[in-house]
Amino acid sequence: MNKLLIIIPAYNEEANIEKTVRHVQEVLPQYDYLVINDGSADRTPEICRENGFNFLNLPVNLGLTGAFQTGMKYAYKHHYEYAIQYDGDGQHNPEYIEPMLQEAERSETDIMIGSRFLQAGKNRSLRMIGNSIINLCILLTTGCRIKDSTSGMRLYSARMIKEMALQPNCRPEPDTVAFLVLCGAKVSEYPVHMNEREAGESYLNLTAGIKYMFYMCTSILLLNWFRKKG
Amino acid sequence: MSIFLRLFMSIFAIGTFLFMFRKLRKSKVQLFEAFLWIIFSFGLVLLGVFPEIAIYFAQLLGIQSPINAVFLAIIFILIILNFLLTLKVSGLEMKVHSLVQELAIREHDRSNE
Repeated sequence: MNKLLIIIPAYNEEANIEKTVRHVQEVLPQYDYLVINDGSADRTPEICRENGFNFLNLPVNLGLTGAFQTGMKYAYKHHYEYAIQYDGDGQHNPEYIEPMLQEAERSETDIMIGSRFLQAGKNRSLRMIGNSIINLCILLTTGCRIKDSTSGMRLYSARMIKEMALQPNCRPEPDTVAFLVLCGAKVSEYPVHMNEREAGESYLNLTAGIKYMFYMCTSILLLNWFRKKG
Repeated sequence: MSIFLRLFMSIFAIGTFLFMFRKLRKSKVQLFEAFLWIIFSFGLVLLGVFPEIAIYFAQLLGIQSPINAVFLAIIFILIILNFLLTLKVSGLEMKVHSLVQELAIREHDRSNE
């Protein structure tokens, strides 16, 4: 019985992918991982091939949603009990995966979120304000109190794997988490530490950030009500 | 605007909204597109039920008949939606080309192994 699949979407990650995958291999040799090369234009696929990594090649770039859903389809097809999102750029730490998995099994949680803010406080940057706003939207529409909804480190149970593999529109984003809660999923958080990116928000990040916030809030507050639950 | 026209437009707009709502829910559609059409058809419902909105904007812009303001708004929105559709179809065409080419190359390489 396949226990856990670590899904590592990668797009143009030649600088980080080798280090990231080796780290996962060292810390968690007992679990399977799958690198999903999302139509990278750089040497990501070559590096994976040279190192003998377990990876898939998407011939066309689909974006994080498509790449992640590919991982979910693979997990579903191969009957994995759990699947976890893992960033290919080295921001996540594999040491937390085992405790997250054990806690998820113990509490029968469907979505275990690796939360940065359960114990540590948040700094007051714009990104964190956005995080708080999305947390609030989720609380209002689902009654579920999540402290770190935008965390990319999410562990999904077999039930969720099936949903995300077969249904469209299941982005690895907070609005999907909210939608799945409305469908009856149980969500918990586990304290983790992530390696922060370098500080400094460029002008470009601000517009992209606002667009993201707008779309996320609309999706959670309006669209989730509209979507068919099943 | 005659009461008959108001009633007619409202019923049609509500009917269109319900039709789109049902269809979008049933079929597998990307959320963003579904959202656009829901908003658009809901906007039509608002216009049908409250033609005062159209009358206000017609007066503001100096358009003689309020129905012309409605036409202007709808045509503009349809142009935008059409444009977005073009972008999407173009993107799809390119992806299909990529897939076809990739398949052909892979099959060729596989049969030569």
